[in-house]
Amino acid sequence: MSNIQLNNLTKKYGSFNAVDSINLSIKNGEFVTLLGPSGCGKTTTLRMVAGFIKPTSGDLIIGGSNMVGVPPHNRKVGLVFQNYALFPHMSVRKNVAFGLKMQKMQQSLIAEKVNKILETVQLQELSERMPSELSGGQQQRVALARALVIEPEVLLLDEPFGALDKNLRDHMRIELRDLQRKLNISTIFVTHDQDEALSMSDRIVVMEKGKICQIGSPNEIYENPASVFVAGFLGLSNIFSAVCTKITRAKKTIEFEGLTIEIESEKLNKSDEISIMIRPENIQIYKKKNASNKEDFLGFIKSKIYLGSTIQYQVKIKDGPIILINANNSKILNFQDFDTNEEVLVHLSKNAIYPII
Amino acid sequence: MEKIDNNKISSWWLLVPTSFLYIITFFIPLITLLVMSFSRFESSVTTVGFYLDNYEKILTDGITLKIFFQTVELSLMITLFCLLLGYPVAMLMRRVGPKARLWILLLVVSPLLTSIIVRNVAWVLILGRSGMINDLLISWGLISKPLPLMYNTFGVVLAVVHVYLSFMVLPLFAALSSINNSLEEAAASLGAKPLSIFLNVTLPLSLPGIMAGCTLVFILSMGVYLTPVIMGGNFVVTLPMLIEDAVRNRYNWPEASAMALLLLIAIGIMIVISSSIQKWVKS
Repeated sequence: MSNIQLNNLTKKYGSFNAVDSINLSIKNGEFVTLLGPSGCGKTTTLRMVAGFIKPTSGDLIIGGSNMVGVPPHNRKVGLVFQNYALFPHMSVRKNVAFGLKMQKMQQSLIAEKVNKILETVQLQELSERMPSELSGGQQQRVALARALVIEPEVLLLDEPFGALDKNLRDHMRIELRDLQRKLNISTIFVTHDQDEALSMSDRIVVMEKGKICQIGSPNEIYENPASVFVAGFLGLSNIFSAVCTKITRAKKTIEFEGLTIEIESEKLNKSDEISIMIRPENIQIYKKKNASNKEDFLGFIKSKIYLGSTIQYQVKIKDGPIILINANNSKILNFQDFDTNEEVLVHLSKNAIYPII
Repeated sequence: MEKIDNNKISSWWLLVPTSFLYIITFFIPLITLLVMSFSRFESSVTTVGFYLDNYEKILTDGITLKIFFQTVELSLMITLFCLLLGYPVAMLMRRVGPKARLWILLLVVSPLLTSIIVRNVAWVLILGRSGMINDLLISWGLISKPLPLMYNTFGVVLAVVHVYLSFMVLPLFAALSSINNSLEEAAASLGAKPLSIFLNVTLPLSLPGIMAGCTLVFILSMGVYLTPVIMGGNFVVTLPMLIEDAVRNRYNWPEASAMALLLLIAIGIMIVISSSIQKWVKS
């Protein structure tokens, strides 16, 4: 059974559609990420679920009941803000106990629940500290504990890692995901960071201009993007316009930017104008030798960027496009570095070319 | 590091013009006041020395102390009304857009832009026995004889609150606008109703603004002179009026100085109280 359902959820500001008829259902315990550039409507969607923004039309069903028109304090929603929004005048313990106090729960029960959740997020020792005395990561754990202690039906995370430095962010990602799995709580996570989305989500919802572009597992979204926008937004990609010029049974010949390549695709028809995506990590380059294979092209290194684990080259293919290539800088794979302006051979395998239809 | 330290020391020179002003207009008069308050005034002759005559008189004549407490009471009343009226205004200013905020701000500080005499004469025209309000109410037949709207505490409080409201609203607005909206949203998502959010989050976090506004208004109210003279007639007497009487009618500078110091002490106590409240709340 779906725990949360958004049915044609819409928010208009005048004639501007901030969120345009969104449909999404989230299963119990599922971790769903709303991913998109700023202004795509992801935060507006989250704030509608939390109850801070009233939808113009559509339904929002949480745990079987329609929440449209229900004020935030009557929804069982746990919210973690980007700036954590800890009450600065209350200790960690009081911050965490706030939600339970609002429910007029018994003091002894409150203490018990607060102790338990503080233990879960490993903050028992800091319970009497004020928020200003905590580090960013600790503050975030308090915010998480405060949201979780009320046992909400849904956990909403609004770019919660934005204010943390990179190492801490990677650490908190794993910690948060473990906790979410352990408590089996349905979660909506808003971010514009593709790494966060890919590494944490059960499913990713890619949004643009108030609409959903694609819903799928991180794997599906990355490898089979439904549109040029999705392909461009997640990870690095080479995207070209191509046209199908010849069909011989399963093999289709496509032309793009002066190059001709045979690929295998069931859907493609003759004269179809499509976009193709080639991920930079799926292209190989070799030291120059005579081009013997139909999938090999001559070119030269236009520029290179050293990124540590990978080296990123821009290669100008002879009579063809400039293409981005990520080479694995691995000692085990005997990777050979190339110099700028060095002539190379580029291998574009047919498996690396993904037609966006 | 040395260079920075040097800069720090030389920066103090920036204070020279102000210190000069303060020494002339503040410290020297204050010391004069102190010396004068311990002087003796006998048959129109002032003798400098260490006499407690003036303080003895103030504390024992029965009337000065009574008027002093009346002044404190009046100032507290003015402060309270400023707070009660100013808080909703500051809350509104925080919620509306920048354009509306500017208009409200202009409205709140508008009394400061008019002369004190004009303002008080206007109040007489509005609140007097045959002023606008009484005329209207009588012509509508709602009342048969004029309401006592001025020459009493009500009139004084109203006129003073009108001017000093801005000194309350500005610090309140500053404190309220420093509260991040997400704090209130977080409280709502944790199940707090609007009133609970106000009592548990907004109000405690705006306390510095409340204390600053109250201290400021209280201090100003303790020294208010012209408005009670005009709006209170002879029915509302404040300590500044006694001081004026001592100086102008009786030429008794020593007694006036002692009363002025009493006023100063009261203000000092208020500041100590307000800062200790803040410290207490913080811990």
